Amino acid sequence: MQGLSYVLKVDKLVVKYGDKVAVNGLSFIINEGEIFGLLGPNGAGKTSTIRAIMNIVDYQGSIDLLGKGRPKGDLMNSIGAVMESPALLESLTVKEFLELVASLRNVNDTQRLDHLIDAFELRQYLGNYIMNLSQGNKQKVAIVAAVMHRPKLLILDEPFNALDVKAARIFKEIIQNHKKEGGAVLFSTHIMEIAEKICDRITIIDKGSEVTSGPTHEILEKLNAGSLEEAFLKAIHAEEQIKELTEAL
Amino acid sequence: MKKVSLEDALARELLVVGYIAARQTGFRPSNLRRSIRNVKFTKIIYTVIFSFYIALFSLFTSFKQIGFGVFAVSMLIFAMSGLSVSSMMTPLSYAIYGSNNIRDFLLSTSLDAEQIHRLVGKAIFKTVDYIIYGTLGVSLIMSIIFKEFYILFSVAMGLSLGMLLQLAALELSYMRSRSMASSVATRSAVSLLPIVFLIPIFLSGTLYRLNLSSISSFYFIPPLSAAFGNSLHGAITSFFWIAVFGYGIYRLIPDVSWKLVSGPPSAFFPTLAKRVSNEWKIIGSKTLALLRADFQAASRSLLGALIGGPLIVFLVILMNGISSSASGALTFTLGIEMAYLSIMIPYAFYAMEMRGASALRMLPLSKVKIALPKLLLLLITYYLYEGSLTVVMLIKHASILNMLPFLIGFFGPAASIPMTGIIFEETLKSGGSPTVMLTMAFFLVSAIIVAVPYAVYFLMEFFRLGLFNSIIAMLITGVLEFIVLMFLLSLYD
Repeated sequence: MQGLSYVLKVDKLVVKYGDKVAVNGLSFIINEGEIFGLLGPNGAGKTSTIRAIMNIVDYQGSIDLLGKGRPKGDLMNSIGAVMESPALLESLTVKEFLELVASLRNVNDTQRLDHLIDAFELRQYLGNYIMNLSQGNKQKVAIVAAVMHRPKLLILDEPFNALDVKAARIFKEIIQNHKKEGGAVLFSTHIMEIAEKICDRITIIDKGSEVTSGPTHEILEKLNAGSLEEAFLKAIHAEEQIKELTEAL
Repeated sequence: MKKVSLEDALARELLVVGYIAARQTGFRPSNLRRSIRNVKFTKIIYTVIFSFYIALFSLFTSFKQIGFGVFAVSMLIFAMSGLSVSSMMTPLSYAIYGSNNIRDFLLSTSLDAEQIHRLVGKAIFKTVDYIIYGTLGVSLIMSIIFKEFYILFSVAMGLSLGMLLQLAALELSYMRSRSMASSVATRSAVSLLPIVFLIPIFLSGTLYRLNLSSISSFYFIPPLSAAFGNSLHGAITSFFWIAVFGYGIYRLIPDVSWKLVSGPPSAFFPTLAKRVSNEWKIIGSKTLALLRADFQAASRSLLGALIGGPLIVFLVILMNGISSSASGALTFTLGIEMAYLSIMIPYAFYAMEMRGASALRMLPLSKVKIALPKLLLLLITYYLYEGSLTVVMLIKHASILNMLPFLIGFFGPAASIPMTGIIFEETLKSGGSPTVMLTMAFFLVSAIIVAVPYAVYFLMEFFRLGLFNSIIAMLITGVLEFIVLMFLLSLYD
């Protein structure tokens, strides 16, 4: 679609599990060449939002990917996702799994696949069953599967979980290159240091609802905070609570 | 606070993890409380269903006009009892995949290894306790009412052998294989052990013709000895075998229980890596790529039994066809059995994919595309089964017309594939926890969907509306079913 600058548009999203409301009317837009941070404490609704975008859970509201509507079928090829618990087919070997993903995503650039495998030092594990891999190596496999086809939108839910320092650094470089090439990133985390360094714009959510939203530097100014961690705690009104609790200890 | 015993909590954990398969699909159950309730409900439903069948088969004893002799009834009761514990314990094998959490939790407590053995052993027993009490109770009552104690011996034999085989299968799955061939052999053995109990059911057509006197010289062989339970020598022999199986269970439970909570089975997930080439094998066709992955996963899963099982039963049915005299009724019975059998393999593949459902959801695959590999597989399986049966029937000089509806009526079984897809979508919606009602619905609805086109054909034939018209009506019904269900499946995208 010509003139379209947004990659993902989420409008009035509601996700419910039975009677429990996990996401309550959340809206945001992610533009081309932008890293968007979705921040919130545990249980805030970050993963549920991502699951709705990935079409894994039922939801109300609208989700529009690249102006083509809800992500499904072939449109899923525009997305690469690394989930909090890597979603892999555990009874396959690393090579079998990556071959399946490459086949389904029509990836013919095996050179890129080889580069990614070497970058994340996975070559020695190609014949290993995913079930037997360490958490960190599973995360690396999930990253390779997510970026091998150069998707337009990268969805990252706590992607640095269990990654070693070198792999984390390589992945940060991949994310930055993706941004430079005009790709978009939805980055969900509760680790504020990383979010502060890489996100252009953030939305902080708590109990399923938006608390504050805007460019990272504006949020720091608005909340008169020296760091994103401080801003985050102020935004969810947790500073006083932490003080009281630690004093009681 | 209400106290919960550790063994109760463990039994529930093993069953819940096994049944919910939440950690395998990557989906969270949308209602965990309901899922836990489901587990208890499943135990009760299984107990009621299997106890009912045992009571029903026992009734055959008093209705001689049905034509089933003591031997056939004994074998059917034995098979049902074996299947009951076997099917109840199978989820334990799936629980293995999520059991690291159980092990880590147990090791962090002050319990020693001996106590953990005992606790997990009791937990394993608790997964089948209702079934054991229910079926034994019913068989005791039926034995007393009809004064036919072979019923009780048949149930006890089935339960003990079923439990022993399942434990042996679990034990076997932890054996380290030194070569790929032995690894494949181990996996096949583990997957196929419980299938033993399906054989008497599918052989019932042959079994009912046998009477006790014709096999009396084999009375000392289990499970045949249970059929002689009314006589003293038969009762003593049966008791001896049940005691032997019981002793085997007693010896295996501590060992298996420890392994269960210690990690994944080596037969299915060898720690040794597979030797792989550096060349990427990327397939252009999504259908074939998915089919290849399904086969790769199936070869390492206990779900492989769902593939190996139908193949064995196929051979049993074929043997049944060879050994019986050809007739229209026999051709119809075997033809329909083959049709039902063929839909089990696509079902197994759906079940396989459900374990990595969240991974697949992230890939560019529509629900219809996911269904296509199963359709291709069904096409091959269906014509392998029905084709083989046709050859057997032709050799036995049966009329080809009897096989015609089965050779042409592929669309009925094909319609079961979108139906299975819908059932699995509904299952995933509820968090990857197939409810008892949903599973029962699958079998019931699939049974109807597969049968309707054949029924149309036979009805038209019955009313002598012409062979050509019957075939066309059957085809139209099957195609309509298939298209409507495919459309309904596509709505889940």
